[in-house]
Amino acid sequence: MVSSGTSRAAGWFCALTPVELLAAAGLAPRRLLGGVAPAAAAAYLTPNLCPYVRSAFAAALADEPGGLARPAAVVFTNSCNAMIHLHGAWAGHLKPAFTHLLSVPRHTGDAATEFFAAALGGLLDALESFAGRRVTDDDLQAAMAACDELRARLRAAYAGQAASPPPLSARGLLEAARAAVLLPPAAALAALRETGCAPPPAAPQSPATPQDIVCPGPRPVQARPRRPRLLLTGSVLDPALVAAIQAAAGAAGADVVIDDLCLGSRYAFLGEEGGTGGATGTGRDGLLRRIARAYLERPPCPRMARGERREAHVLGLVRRFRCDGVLAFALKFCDTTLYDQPRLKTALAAQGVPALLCASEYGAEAAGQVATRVGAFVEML
Amino acid sequence: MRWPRVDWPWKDGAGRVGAKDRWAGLKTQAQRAFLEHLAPRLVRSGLLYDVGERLARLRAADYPPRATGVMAQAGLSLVRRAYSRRYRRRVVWTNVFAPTEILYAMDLLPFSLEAAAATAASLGLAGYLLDVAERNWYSSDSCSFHRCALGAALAGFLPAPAALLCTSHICDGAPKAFARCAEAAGRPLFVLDTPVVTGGGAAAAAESYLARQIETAANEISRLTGSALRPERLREACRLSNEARRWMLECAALRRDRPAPVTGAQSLGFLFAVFTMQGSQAAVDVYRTLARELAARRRDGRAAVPRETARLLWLHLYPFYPNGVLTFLEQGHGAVVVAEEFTHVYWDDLDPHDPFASLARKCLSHFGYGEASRRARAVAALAQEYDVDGVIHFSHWGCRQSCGGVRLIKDELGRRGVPLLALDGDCVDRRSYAEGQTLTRLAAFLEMLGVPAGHGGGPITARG
Repeated sequence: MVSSGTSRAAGWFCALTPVELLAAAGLAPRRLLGGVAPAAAAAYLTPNLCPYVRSAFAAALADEPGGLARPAAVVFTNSCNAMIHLHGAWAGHLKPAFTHLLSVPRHTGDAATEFFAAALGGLLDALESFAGRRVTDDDLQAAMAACDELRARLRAAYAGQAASPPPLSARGLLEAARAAVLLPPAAALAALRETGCAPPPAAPQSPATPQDIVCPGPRPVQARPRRPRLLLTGSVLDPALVAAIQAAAGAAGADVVIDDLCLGSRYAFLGEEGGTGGATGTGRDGLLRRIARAYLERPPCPRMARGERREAHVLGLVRRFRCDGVLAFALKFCDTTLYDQPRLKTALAAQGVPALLCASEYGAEAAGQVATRVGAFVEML
Repeated sequence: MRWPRVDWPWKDGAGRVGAKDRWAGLKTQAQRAFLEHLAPRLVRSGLLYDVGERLARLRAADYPPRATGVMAQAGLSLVRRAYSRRYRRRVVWTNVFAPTEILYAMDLLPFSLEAAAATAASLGLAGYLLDVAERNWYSSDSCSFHRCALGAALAGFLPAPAALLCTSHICDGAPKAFARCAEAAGRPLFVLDTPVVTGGGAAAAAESYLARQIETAANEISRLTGSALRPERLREACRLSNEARRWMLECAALRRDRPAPVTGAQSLGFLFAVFTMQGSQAAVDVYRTLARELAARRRDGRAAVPRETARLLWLHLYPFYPNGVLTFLEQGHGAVVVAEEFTHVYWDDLDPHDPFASLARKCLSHFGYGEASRRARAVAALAQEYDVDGVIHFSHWGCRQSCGGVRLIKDELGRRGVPLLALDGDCVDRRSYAEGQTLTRLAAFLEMLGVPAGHGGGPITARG
């Protein structure tokens, strides 16, 4: 599908970006995760803006054009004001060969799907102009199938985390999630095999949605004592920060068994069927509509409207993965998550599930503080 | 009403030692008791607005300009009705960009939560309301307009709504804050998801998507309130919106005069009409009065300040608590704010025969939404149109949509030789305001513009 000799990297940020289109256009989708201290971005982006956005821009400033952090093509979404401003700064100051600001609806349903499919058509037209080639239905179908398979493997790994103890370390699952977004689909699939993520079994099927995950029965007597199981939820967190949180929980005697993060499970679960529906379609419009619906109906992130869907999703994860507590990490200045957290805490408390609310910078600079807070929370469980 | 528990100072087992502190504590308790128990009842009683409206009517001739008096009467009337029993369940909480035309068409009352927060700030209530929000776990990093409104909703200060109507542009915080307000009020929220327009076929799809949402929301609100949405009333609301727009454009043209006929401080109050009155006769009355008055000033050769030393464009909003910013600029130095971003007429006339689509176009055409370069270009064009000497961007803490694009605006203006000052502050939370620091920065900016230090712009005459 994508020839490494001719592929060009296409950067993206938000999990609502349809990477299938990037891959279908012959580009190599690569998520831009920043990971650099955001100070260098201060001259371009106000300090009270999302630290992920500032970190990503700082990483681009420090890189050469065409580098890993500053690819020639970048796709943005209107996921939030910060992302819109990242587009403005990137297009205005870095001036790559290709940028596109994709409008993603906040609602789900037929009207939103119809609009989003039209927006995806606009993105595809722009990608074709940039790539200098027409994207055929076959290209789209192949890209959709590849991404669906990748997500299926990731979902199978997540499903395994319902066991006690979970078979994969939290770190291992995080590496699998990172590989899925940093590498082209074929390379990501190979990386998942290396981390021990089993291919989806013939039966039962890889779970399509978190609701399809069934917890195994009582553990054998010989199994090690049960450690508290935690859900980590939030916005987009630097993998280094996630690793720090996982390490802090581990050191305190608990396990982060499941996440609800943009980098993690929210990428893996897509739509009602778990993917875009694979290789069937009815022409370009039909395929785009299928992609649009799958992305809008995935487990919701805080920027989507209808917060009750998100609440139900988080509570569902807590039940299915038998979590004893929730770590809710919001990035500083992430308004959508910060407004959701109090409601989430109340809903969890009503179910008798304690939650720790934190707001942090993007990176692992505050790892020590994180460790203290997580440790105290675990002690409380 | 349950009386609050009071710790009387003479019941302290330690006797009179520390009595001064005890009395101070009693004062604090009294203040808290007033804010928690009496103030909401007072605010909801309607008496305040009735008295205020009568006073505004009596003192109409004293307002400079007179349109301020018309504005004050209209605003107080709207708020009085919102709190009255007669309009119970005919109030809709809105955000600043909600298409109020559809509400006026149904004889419903838009109640802008951001305007309510601004009013709370002017009355000194914002600190308490922000505290209420923060005690309920809402982060102090988010916009104080929405946090204050949320605190007011939680503390029972706001009139009971039938529904809430909010657009998703131009900020993320609005739909989320409104969702929390809707939970507090126990009423449904209608979020008008406003897409980013990127041109091509998606532009038509965006308009269609938004128009359908506006129509659906209007019909649902009609059903909830029992107020019929009649086509002829909607046409009339669009027609009134267009008429107000024409008067606004005339005012904007007159404000391009040199010297400026009206100050930024005097124009501040008209923001209420922009946020809450579009589609109503009141907006027409306000702007027609203002336009005629500005035209009269032009004929008579009357300026806003005795000696205009600089012309400024103001971006975003002003601090709404008592402060010295505009007085320092305009009265103290003759540097007049000749235009504001928020009063700029960016939309075309509505089509009364295609109201939902034209309201959608109005929302989508906001220059502050979508690609940040749109706002930069619009601001640069405004700066040129008003022949300003400098631009002040009030960087309201928590306003991501506004603050994020300052560098692009600065660069765009810099290419035209217009300097920009990014002035950090908070429009609602006075606890974050440091007057000395703020005025020092303004003084330095004025010096850069060549405005003589300590120059007195002089007082505005009481009668326009």
